[in-house]
Amino acid sequence: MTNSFALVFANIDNSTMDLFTAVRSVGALPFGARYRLIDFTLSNLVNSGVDTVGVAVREKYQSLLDHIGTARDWDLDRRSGGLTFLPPFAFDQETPYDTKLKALIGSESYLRNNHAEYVFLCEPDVVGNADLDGLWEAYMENGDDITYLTVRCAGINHHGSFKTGLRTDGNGRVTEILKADDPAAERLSVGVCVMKRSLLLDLTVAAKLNNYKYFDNDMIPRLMENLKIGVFDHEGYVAKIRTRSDYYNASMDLLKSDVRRDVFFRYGHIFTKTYADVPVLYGLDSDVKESLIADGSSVGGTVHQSIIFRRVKLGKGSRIVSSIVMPDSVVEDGAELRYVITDKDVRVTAGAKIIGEPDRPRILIKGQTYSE
Amino acid sequence: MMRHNKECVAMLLAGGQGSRLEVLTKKVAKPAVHFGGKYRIIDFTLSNCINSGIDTVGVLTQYQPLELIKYVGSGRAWGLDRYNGGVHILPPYARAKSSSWYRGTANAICQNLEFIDEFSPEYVLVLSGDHIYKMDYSRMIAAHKKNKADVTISVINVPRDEASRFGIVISDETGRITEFEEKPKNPRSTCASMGVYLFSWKVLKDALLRDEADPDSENDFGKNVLPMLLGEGARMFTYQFEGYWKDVGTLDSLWDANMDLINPSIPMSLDDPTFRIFMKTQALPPQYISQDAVITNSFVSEGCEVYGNVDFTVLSTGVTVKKGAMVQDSVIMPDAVIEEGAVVQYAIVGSGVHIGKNARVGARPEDYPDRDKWGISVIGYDLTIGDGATVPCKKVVFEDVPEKE
Repeated sequence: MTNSFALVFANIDNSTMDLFTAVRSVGALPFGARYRLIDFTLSNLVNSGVDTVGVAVREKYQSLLDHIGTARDWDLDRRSGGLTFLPPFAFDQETPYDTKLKALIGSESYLRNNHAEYVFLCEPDVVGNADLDGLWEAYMENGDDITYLTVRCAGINHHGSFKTGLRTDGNGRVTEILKADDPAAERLSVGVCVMKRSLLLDLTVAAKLNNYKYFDNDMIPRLMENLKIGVFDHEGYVAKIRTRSDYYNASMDLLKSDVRRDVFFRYGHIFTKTYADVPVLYGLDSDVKESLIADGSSVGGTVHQSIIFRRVKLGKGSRIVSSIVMPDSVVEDGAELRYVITDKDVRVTAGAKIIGEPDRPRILIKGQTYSE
Repeated sequence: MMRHNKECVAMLLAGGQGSRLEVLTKKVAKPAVHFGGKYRIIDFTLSNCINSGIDTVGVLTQYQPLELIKYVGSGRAWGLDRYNGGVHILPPYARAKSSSWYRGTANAICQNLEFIDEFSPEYVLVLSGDHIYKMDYSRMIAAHKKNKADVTISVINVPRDEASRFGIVISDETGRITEFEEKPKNPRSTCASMGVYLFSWKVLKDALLRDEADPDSENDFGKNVLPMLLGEGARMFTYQFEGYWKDVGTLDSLWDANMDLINPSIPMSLDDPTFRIFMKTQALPPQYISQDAVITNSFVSEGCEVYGNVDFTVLSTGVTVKKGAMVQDSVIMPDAVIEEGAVVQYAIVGSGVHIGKNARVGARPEDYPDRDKWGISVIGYDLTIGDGATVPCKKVVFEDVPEKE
């Protein structure tokens, strides 16, 4: 799809995530032992041949900049096109730059200067391997103005917290836009849609004139009479990560082989920043079951039902159970974690025992040392 | 085009066939052979160069270069994609009136004099692409300057009983070289040449041109150019290297060097943030260790899925070990699949190999009272070992092995 580009809304409100996003935007959230959430969105785009991507960012985007760099690891360092960051530009400083509409208005010149005919709008809080070629084909075939990537409410393969529900008629035409938990909703929006750039520009102008608040839940419902809105159902696993338990549950879902197959391989590979990390070193007494471990780590003790990110050092006799340990963290000898999510660079001192609850895992804050 | 001069240009000899590794080098040059789970042999020298501040590297290829050329690519993985300098693949090429393959190590450099001259270097570092070691060449350059040397040869102390396998360098108390002995029966020194030579470029260029003009020369550094310079009284010094260094020119040494990565008493860490060994990586998911797996004392890379038992083993990227399979004391190269119930012991399994259900590959030395009959087993790239088949110890497999009832 060379005649298209994408906007990724890494600026969207993420206050529901607590703690983790205090230091980063949601797209930069470490996920799945070696990724950050935005990797899924960027890889899906690249795997469908979209090679021009604007990433709207708001605040705390240092880790996102650091992660994406020149975007080489996604092959998005292009002579023409490629990845462009869109920080707030000449924007009203009074209100936060935290909605799609604000990002669209703030990025108007990027939209105008891009000459591709079609545009994908993407929220980066999605874990999944999406068929954007399929979305585009459905869009073209049905002659829609806008086509949303959706899942059926009745399906079993979608997880996490969706925001937007859709009511559809027998032809898959959207008749009403609802809250995700509305019982009348038949489908849920994954947070990806495609339309013509010219339409998006018109919508952006309309939003500015009319002071619309939200794209999907305010503007589109008001303009629906004049728009042909369709859907394309996503196949395979997908999770919308908006809360701590969404994050924990989707992480643990990766321990299922069918979920890994879906998420990592279904329509293409998932790319991420490459490091020259060494393979994982398993020690003499390591006891590892049902876990995902990223390179650069070393294991000196027990790891059960857990996700271990890059360059994590797990000391002798340490016990990590049902937990997630983010990059560069150290768990010293004999320490134990159960139902815990450590952020990056956390140190757990020797012999410490930290236990969270299954439905509310304890979060250890970035860069801190814990002894209890 | 304006170029900034480079103090030192490295020339990496990567054209050899590696005939003693034949089963693994049928389709790839030796420097491109997989090593240590995620690496290839050439990663060590390329990383050494960039870590030593040398950002201009010529890689001399000849034998089966495709995989190597693809792997080196733009040099980006090592930070060697430079506007000025960077890594360059240098194959032999045809000239207006003549053309020839690289005839020897010295001839290979001689055919690329113009490449080196473009950077007007003070020094040229000649490296081989088949050694595993971490070395800061900038210290060697400093010693070379201090000695006002024409040539500096990096040497490492080897055990006296092994010295006869190496090129031995004899030097006086100041480190000035007085004599070479190639694989001597009764070595007079334990200083072995590591195949790392630093030359002052003027001296090297002049020597190469004179060596080329000699019809009797084999155009080889060890055999011709270095002895010639020594005979002429050139200032040649040793540089004593301390640390881990291994020539992985044989199957046994390749297996040993891989196993050294698991051995905590071996003083070479690949995990030193101040001296990293870089490699080209693929987009593979993290490794998955299942409920049924037992995994100890091993080095395991991304993309692996482990359902069986793994002990004292290097698993490279994308390897699958199925339920009930047992892998011990082995080196498994990328994307190999070991099916249920298969047993692999003391083996090197090439990239892309498929080992069938209940097959047996290799054996433990403990099970062989006659140790002369024991040795590691090696399976070449992309081969299939059928269900229930047996590959005995010490066997080198070049072709598919059919299944057995």
